[in-house]
Amino acid sequence: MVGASVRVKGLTKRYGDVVAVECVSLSVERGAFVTLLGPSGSGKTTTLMMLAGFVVPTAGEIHIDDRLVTLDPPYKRDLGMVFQNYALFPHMTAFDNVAFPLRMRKVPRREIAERVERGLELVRLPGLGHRFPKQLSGGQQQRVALARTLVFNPRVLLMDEPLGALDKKLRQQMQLEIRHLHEQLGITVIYVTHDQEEALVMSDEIVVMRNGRIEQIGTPRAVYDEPRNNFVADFIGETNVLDGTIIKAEHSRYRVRTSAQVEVWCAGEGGLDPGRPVTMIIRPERARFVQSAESDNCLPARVEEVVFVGELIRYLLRLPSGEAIVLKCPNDSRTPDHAAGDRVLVRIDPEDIRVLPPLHSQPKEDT
Amino acid sequence: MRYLYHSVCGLVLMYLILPVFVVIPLSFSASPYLEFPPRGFSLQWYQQFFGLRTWYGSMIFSAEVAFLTMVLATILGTAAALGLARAGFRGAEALQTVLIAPMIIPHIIIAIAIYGWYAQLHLIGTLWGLVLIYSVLAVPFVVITVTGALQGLDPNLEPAAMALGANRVQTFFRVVLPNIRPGILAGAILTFALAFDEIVIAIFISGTTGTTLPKRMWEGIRTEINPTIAAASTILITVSFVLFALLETLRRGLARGKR
Amino acid sequence: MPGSSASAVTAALLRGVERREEARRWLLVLPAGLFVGVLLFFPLLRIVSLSVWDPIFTLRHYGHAFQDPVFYRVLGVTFKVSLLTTVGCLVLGYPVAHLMAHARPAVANFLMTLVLVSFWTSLLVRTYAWMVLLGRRGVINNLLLAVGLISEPLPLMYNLFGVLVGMVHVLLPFMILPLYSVMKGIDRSLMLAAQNLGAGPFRSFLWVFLPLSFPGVTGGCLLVFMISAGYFITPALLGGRTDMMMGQLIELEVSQLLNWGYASALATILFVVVALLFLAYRRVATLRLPSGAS
Ligand SMILES: Nc1ncnc2c1ncn2[C@@H]1O[C@H](COP(=O)(O)OP(=O)(O)OP(=O)(O)O)[C@@H](O)[C@H]1O
Ligand SMILES: [Mg+2]
Repeated sequence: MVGASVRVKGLTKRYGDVVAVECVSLSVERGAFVTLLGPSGSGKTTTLMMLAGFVVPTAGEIHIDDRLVTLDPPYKRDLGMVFQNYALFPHMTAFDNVAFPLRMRKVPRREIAERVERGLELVRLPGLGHRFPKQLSGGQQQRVALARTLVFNPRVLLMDEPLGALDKKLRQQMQLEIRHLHEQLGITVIYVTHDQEEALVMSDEIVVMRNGRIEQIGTPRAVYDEPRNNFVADFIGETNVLDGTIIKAEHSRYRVRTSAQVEVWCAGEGGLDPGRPVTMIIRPERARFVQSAESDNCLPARVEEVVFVGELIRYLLRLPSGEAIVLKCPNDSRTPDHAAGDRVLVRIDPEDIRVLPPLHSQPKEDT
Repeated sequence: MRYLYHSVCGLVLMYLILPVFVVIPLSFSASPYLEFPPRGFSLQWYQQFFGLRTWYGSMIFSAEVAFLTMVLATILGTAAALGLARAGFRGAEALQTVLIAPMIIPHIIIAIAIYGWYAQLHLIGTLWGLVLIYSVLAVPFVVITVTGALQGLDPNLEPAAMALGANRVQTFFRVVLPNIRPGILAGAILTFALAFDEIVIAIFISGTTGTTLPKRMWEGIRTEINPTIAAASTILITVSFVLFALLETLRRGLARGKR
Repeated sequence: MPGSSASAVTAALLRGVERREEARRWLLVLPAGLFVGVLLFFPLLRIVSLSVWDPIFTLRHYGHAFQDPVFYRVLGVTFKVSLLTTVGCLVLGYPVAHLMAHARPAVANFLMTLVLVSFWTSLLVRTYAWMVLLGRRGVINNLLLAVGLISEPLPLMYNLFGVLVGMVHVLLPFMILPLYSVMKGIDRSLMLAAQNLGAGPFRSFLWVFLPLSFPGVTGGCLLVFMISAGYFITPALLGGRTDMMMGQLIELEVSQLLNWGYASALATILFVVVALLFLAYRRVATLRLPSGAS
């Protein structure tokens, strides 16, 4: 079984004046695992529902393997969909739930029994077919829903926050299981979540959405390391944002003066002129304490708060400019033991500072 | 203080329930008058009831009317509730008001309005005349119970069925219907009870030919003062109790299913 | 992108799909809507038109009503009976609803069953039962005579007293059920908090529970008043000649005097009154079917 490719062009949905999804274009390769990631209300569910055919778009086209399906009813699209609260049929046993799509496709009875058993084995739930949904735990229900969707070999699997109702441990376990199933079956998966960690762990590609629009598409590494804007940087992982002004632009780096009047080198592709105000984005785990101003790119600061998280220690520092900056250090013997009130020096490598046009020229984020 | 409160509640509940039970012993009275406590035990008033066509015939007629009303109103009301379920389309609210209206307009107004119109259409005293207007009264009850059942349904159930390859008809019969069946049955029971008991409209449009049991009792109460009416009342009470018990069983089952 | 540009999906096509979905839902509602519309609203409109066309446009039936002392007397009785019934239901129903909302589930269920049994018993049967109880030779008079408390039968029926006893009995469930559903929703910890803050049981009831139960009181009262105003059977059987209510007057004009124009005007007036009460009710409560304790 091979997954299908999905191509979406200019997909838009308006409810009266409310724009739920605006001009979303997306191309998903066969067998890819793509995640739609965004805060609440960013249009993820609406996009997925339009793909599945439950919401009629206001404009746009959807192709599955080069077949135009925009006007097809849901039951003719041959997409599998897993819903957030599973949507298991409460009046049917697990077996009947899994058999449902096969019965709808008029599969012979003997084959149904066999395929349902195989489906339940696939999600490691053999022998529980006789139970009703309410006799199963949340995780088991989740697996039945998965088996029910996979049993008819759909070429694309849509999942809307399928793990939202599970506790953290179980969620992490299911993330890996879904990942394995995806690798094993070669199916195309379009996955929706608002949990950035989940998106990073599971996806080949992440589509970051906000207010119905796509903000960035890229591999987990790309959206994490090279966020296209401040919103993406902030939404995926924790981020420090500092203001500055370019004072010198060289071949592949900038000299930037921070508002604390310290000058640092930053890596960059070029294209920004000297004198231009910019925003610097720094991941907390990429900054580190140094003993003395041994080299360039050091910022003086004062420790304001120390939080012990377990495998790492989180420091909240205050720069002389009044800006706050967060540092995450591994909890090992090399990390110096700082306490609130200490004066410290922080160093950030030029490659770890990302320079973007300043905040106010980017679309405002509403929270 | 606490004692007073409990005895007040007890008295109110007795006031509420006792009259219902006064009628039952009367119907087994051996005396020819209304006497309480009844003297002796006999089934003579039931013999009278089942011996006179005007009495038992009216009961059968009432049952026919109630059954047909139940079928008609349940189908119409269920369809309407399904259509209104995911409201938000134009005119949904207006339609909802229209469908609830029969519950609030005083029956005396409906009765004279229908009476004048039916007289022109020669529907007075006919089975279908009664069934039609009772169905109008009953539709809101079905709409409300079925809507309630639909609201308890996971909104993703239908999309899930369709995503798994069921078309609209299959989705309804295999997924939606089994889950809202208790709501539909509850609506049907209410409908039957309503049509079996209705009196105000029956006074006007149930004529000398098609006489319902309540209409026959109404006539009886004003003319004869013997316990046949008590027997008829007991029969009505029994029917109500059976329907009520059915409904409660359904509700209990439903409550257990939700857990 | 093979084929995609050739088969461009226009906005019009998409809107067509959406419209079809909407039409499907309309088709489901339409039969019931038409059914109720034709069978209920057509005759009602006919009544309204009968009240103003006789044989040409005229307001004389309304003029007649507002000049006739009988009309005012009937209106007064209707108002008085409805008001007293409402008060009676509230006074009797409030403690019962309160008890139901606070009793153990088994007890609450039992009480609810009693209320629902009464509710489910035919209105005619219940009114008949009161005739048996309240009559001159009825159960109550016989009992009192036998005990020797009275020497003459008391006039318990065919007067205002009889009507009220019957009406309150019939409408009590319509008060108890909304009261109960509101009281059930009042957070028990609020009362505990009030007592913790120093209010005794009575004062915490007065200052916390009573105000919070007010939506149920307004809802129940409006409902009972609304139903009372259009009542017919109970006053007809238990009332006296002087206690005629609006429903009875309408019936009288239609069946005995065949005065359709005037009866239609009266019905229209009654309808307007009830509709206004219903609008008021809508503002305080959602229409819900009485249901058993869960
Ligand atoms: N049926 C509807 N009518 C009107 N507005 C709607 C409707 N469905 C969605 N919206 C609006 O569209 C926007 C996007 O909603 P959507 O459900 O797609 O967000 P989401 O990204 O899935 O959010 P969440 O993470 O909370 O599930 C929201 O602002 C929402 O209010
Ligand atoms: Mg969503």
